[in-house]
Amino acid sequence: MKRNPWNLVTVVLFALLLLAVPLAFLLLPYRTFSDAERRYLADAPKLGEQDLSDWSYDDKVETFLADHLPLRNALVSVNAYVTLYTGRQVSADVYMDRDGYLVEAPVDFDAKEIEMRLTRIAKLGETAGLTPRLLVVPSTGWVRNGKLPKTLAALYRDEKALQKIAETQGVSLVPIAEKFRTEGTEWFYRTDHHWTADGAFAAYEAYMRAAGHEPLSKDAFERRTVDGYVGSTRSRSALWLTKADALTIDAPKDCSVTVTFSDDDATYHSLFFEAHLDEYDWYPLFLDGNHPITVIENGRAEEDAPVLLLVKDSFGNTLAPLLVPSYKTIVMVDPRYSKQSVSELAKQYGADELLFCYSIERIATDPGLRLLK
Amino acid sequence: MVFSSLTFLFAFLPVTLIGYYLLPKKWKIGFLLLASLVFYAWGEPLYVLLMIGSIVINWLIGLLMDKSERHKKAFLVASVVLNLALLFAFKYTGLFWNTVKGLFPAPLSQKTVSIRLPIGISFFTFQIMSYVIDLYRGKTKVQKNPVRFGAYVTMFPQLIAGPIVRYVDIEAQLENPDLSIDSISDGVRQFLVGLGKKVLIANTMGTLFSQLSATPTENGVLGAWIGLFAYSFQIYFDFSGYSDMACGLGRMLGFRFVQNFNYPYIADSVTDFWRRWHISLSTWFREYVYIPLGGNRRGPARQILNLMIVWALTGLWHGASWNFVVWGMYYGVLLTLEKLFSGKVLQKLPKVVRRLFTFLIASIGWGIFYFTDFSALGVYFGSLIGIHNAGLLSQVSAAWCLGFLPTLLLAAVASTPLFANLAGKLEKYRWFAPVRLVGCVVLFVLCIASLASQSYNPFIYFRF
Repeated sequence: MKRNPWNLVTVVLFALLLLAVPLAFLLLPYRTFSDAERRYLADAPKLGEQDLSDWSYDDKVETFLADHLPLRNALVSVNAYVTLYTGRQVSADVYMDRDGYLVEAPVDFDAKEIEMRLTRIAKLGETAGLTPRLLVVPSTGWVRNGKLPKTLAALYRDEKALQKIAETQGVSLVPIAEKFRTEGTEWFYRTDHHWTADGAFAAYEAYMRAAGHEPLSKDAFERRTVDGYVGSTRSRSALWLTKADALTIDAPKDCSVTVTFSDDDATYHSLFFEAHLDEYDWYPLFLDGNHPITVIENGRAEEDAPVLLLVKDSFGNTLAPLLVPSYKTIVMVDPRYSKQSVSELAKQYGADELLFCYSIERIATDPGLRLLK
Repeated sequence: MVFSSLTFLFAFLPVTLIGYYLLPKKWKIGFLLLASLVFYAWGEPLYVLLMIGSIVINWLIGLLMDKSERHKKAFLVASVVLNLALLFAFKYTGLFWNTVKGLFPAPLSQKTVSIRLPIGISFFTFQIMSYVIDLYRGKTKVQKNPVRFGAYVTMFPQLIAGPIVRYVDIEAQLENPDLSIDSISDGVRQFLVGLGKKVLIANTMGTLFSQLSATPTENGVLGAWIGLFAYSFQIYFDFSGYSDMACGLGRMLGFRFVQNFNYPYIADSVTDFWRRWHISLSTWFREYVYIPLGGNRRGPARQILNLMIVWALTGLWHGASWNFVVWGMYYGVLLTLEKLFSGKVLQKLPKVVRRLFTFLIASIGWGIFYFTDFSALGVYFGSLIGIHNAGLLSQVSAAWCLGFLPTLLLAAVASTPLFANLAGKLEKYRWFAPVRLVGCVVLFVLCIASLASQSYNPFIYFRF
């Protein structure tokens, strides 16, 4: 019988593949941290520590191997693109829309969960004697709805949650959602879930008007862009071919600030922490990322300028620099990290206004807001 | 250890194959036994002792049966009782106790019994029994070499999920495994096809079904049916993929196992379906239960009884829960009906209708198979006929079903012999072999990509 030479090639190639992976694993440098996933990779499990009656050594070894598989990021990306191009986006955490924007999958809004948080917020306002204003950033998928396939677009129900907030007694919703939907399709990053400087500026104007102030014009700020920004949605999706963004930064012109953090003894004199541009994650450029409590004193403020208490998630970090020129003090609280009573903070600093700046996902899901007091 | 794991593919398999190929022939089987014990102990470090004990005792009984013609039957009975007792103790004690407790609650302690099931016990017990019974019937010679016997039972490709290899089918190969390049390359291809079926199709269908089965009252009628079909494909590609991997690994080691699946979803009757689904199990039950009970030789009434017994047992073999018995009986009744009259009616219908009808029956069967909880079964089956008033297809289900439609269609086509027939036709062209090889490499990379992604877990909470 004539032998098919390709059978030999098949066997040799399979053998090489089976051997190449373990060899590469042994020879390549051992990584303990993944930049792309921003987490420590699994340590090699030790056999001696295993309990025979509750055996999980096999699972631990599998996790370890998966974490340290050679070309892991490339393979994960291959899988992400296969999922995308076979139409199964709906099963991913992040969708890609027609313009190549990476958009977080929608959150299922639980009416009870939202109500519970709103009640907390309203009650807090009552205790502090201030009307809580809510600046709720709509989801990228809802804003860019027309760019998504119809079946996926239908899953974004932000208007339901916004309606709920608008109807709640004791809180005041700052109207920005419609403006975002009509004008703001470019107000989010392609590779990150955050808003751009334009998005933050639109929210700033809306808040200032809602609070009865005249917003400053764009001339009062200096626009700067830094190319090569890669954000969270690209990390999560592993769609590594997505083009990087330009990070946009609006810095108030002639300003003099003192910034202090509750978890750091030093005092800083800038709203922007440039050192983070050398790291994998650039977003902490704005006010050094999330801290339990951040206090910004404006050295050039007029004597009767108001004090703002800003309860926020990370969207607040880009909003705060825009608000700085109009306030004497801005106290930022992140309830995910701070257990301190917000109403007491309001008293302590003599707050004149109370603003909640949150993405709509966080309003619906942040555990910190449930414990607010 | 499962085949579709990185541990198996990149640690166990290369080491085992290198050792197996490099060792001289007389050491190969011993090495295979050792590797298989490691394979089992990796996931079951305690129960491996149970399996070794069972092998040693049955091997000894085999020797005794061979020595003493007079007590042959007694030894057979001892072996069968012992094997079934082990299976019962480790697999069915919980079900038995909880059922008895439910029937007579007052006098019994309300303690629940839960014994962890040793992986593969249903498979290796049946393999061992096939040896002892065939030895009694004089269909095979005694295996005096405990290493060969141990290797037969534990051989890692078929140890934990079949196919159920009968001793008579592999006896000769244990002496002389076929390690030609052609055989090994066939094995490699079959293994990769099986891996692809499991990782790329079964897992994907599983994702769709777990989404839809989590919200049975909200999917809508169409969503419920698509979910059920997705599960039918999941279970077929999972199980037949695993069998393909087993057969492929067997070929790589020089053994040819029986074919376990023969495109069951193109079956045109329930009888035909069971000739094509998990063939090694139906063969086992026919050979060792149905025929010894008298099969169809003792009149129609007895035949029906025999069918019912066999199918109740077949159901129970699949799991220690009453829904499996119901599932088995469902087939017992359908097969009886088909034998008595509906078979003749069905024959008059066009083939495509008969096939779709059979697939529908199998899918409903998988619904019974999946839900171990009868009230959950009721809720899901209710959604199939629209009792939850969720319309035809909810928005969420529409997004999922449409998104998974390409994979569903691929699964449907891959359930037929179309690809195999096409390959058979193209084999004569010179370009086919290299193209097929490239296809195999791509398949392998896609599978590894999918496995690697399972632990991809960006930690970004702190950024919000």
